[in-house]
Amino acid sequence: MKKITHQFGVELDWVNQFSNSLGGFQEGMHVIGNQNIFQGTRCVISITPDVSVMFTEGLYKQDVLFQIKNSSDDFVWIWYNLNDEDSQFNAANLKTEIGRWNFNAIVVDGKLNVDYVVKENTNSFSLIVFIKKEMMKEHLISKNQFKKVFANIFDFKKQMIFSISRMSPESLFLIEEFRREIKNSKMNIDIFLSALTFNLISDYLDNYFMQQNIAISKLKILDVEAIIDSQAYIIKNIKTFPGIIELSRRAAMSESKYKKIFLKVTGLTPNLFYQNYKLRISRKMLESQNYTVSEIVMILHYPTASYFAKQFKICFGISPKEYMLSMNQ
Amino acid sequence: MAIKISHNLNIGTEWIEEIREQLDSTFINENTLVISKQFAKGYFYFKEIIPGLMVQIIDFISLKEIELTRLSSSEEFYILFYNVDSPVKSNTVEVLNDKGEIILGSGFSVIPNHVATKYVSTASKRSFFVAITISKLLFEEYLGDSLAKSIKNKNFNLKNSIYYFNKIDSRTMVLLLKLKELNYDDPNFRFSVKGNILQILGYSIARLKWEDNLFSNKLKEFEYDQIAKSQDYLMSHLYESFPGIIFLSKMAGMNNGRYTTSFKKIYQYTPKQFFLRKKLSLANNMLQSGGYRSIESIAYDLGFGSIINFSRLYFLRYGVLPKSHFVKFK
Repeated sequence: MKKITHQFGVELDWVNQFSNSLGGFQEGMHVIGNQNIFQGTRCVISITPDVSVMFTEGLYKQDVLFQIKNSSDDFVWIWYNLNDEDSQFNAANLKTEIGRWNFNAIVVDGKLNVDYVVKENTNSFSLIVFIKKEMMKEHLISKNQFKKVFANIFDFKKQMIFSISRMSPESLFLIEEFRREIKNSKMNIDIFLSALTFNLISDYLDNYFMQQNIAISKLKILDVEAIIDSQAYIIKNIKTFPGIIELSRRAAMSESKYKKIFLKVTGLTPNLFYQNYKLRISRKMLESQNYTVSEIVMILHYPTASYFAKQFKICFGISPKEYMLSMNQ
Repeated sequence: MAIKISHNLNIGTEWIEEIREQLDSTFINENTLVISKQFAKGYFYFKEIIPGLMVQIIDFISLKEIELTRLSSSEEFYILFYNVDSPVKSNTVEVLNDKGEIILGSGFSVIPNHVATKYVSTASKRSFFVAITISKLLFEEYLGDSLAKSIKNKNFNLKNSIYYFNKIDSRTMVLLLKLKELNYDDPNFRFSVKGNILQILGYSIARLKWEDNLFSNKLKEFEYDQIAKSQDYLMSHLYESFPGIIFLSKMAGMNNGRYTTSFKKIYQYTPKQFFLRKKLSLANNMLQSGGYRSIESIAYDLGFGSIINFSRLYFLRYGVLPKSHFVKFK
């Protein structure tokens, strides 16, 4: 097993050493590592003095143990992990698995030492956003109504920021969109990566208070897993909604419990999750330009074209026909 | 009587003071200017996204017509302009008026710093547009190799600058509509703006690069001049009927097919479409000039065979019948 010890930070002075320990070097924003360890793209960019991001996509050729020991603690990092294989993640006393179908959004305080193991043959797709604590604090305090409360709560010297959860559907959609876009060689990866980072931060801060309330650690792991399974089931049967009764039976929960936990884990009700996902699929189909609107209506089992058009317009602000007609290229 | 505002623009914030004075507005925070109620209900939002890249979002409902004129400047930058709201569904390709300003219509335009622009709002209708100012250096860096090639071939630029007018593509449109719904008071607004604007920029850059691909079939310089000459001819004969492709291609010294495709590359329309568009925009000016007694006389002056055909074409272009734009001679 290859062992790599490194640092993180908003300032990118750690990148050089990180590249070296991966058996390679830094070239502009790209980290060129040893091909026998990792094959793919890895780049790190500084977007503003308060925000940086690292993006990784590729295949691990051997087991790699990453150990993170930071020298500065003025930042937090948010890790969006869509690896297809689960990785073992250890921080303080906590041991857990993370990955696309597991916990996939991890927020870690800079002062925490962390290690994790990525297994051989893992197809990796991950984003790590580094944010200065000072900026986060300023921002959260500026939400007026909380001013008083927060001046006290945000004592980052004493407090530790740490959460392990599932990313919100919105974040997932943003990342998937990004993933599609960068396949096109005409798209500038640095612009889209910066855009994605700001959109993710916006979404994270939007849900910040909600996430604190529904810290997943308070839920039973078994329940969370059942919900994740059930999400995968909905996606697989995207043509028709299976119904709460069927879904809750599969998850071995009562209907009301199922609905409650689904909402906590995903931030959406089962039906809304289903609707949203289906609309994004229809959008993808329109973009492929292989289908007409009426074909999509048929394939995705929408009752009528006008119903589909209405839903699409509510979601994206533009009707499917207009969307298709003004497709670029 | 329209309210006339003229201002400078640069990649910075000095210019916003000129707007503040003329529209008697107040800052509600360092990025947002709220316009005085006596003129309009709405705001100007401006923010630096990354060094060398600024955004302005203008969103208001004016009580009277407001004419915003941006003066030309010597600082080198480009403006990427996105206008969602306009009664006219077709895209821009707008004429320079007699002062050498570009009139901004709906759609997506790229305009260099040294050309002045003018935007006219419609009274009691929501105006929403986004302008990204990007330094020449950064813009050229993003465009990369494709730019160097096209500048050399004079393809989508005149006088070594990029001009570009087209419809807004659907992915950009979705983002713009999202921005339109956001509330500028929300502290999260600044992150959403940054994210969405960068994404929009990414799409536009990709589109311009793609455009270059379309233009890979190179035009020779003398052909470019020949076509410009025939375009001049078309512009000065708007009162007559279309001279025909054969005549025009002969004038340019090319065969018919080559002429039509080359013309389209430069002006984005076929000669006939181009001629008709210019004719109709002339008709639009004539209708509003108040110098004619009837719509028929305009139609006949412009060489349309019948008023029915004229009305039909006008409707297709502007979405309304000529009579709703007509100001009668008194």
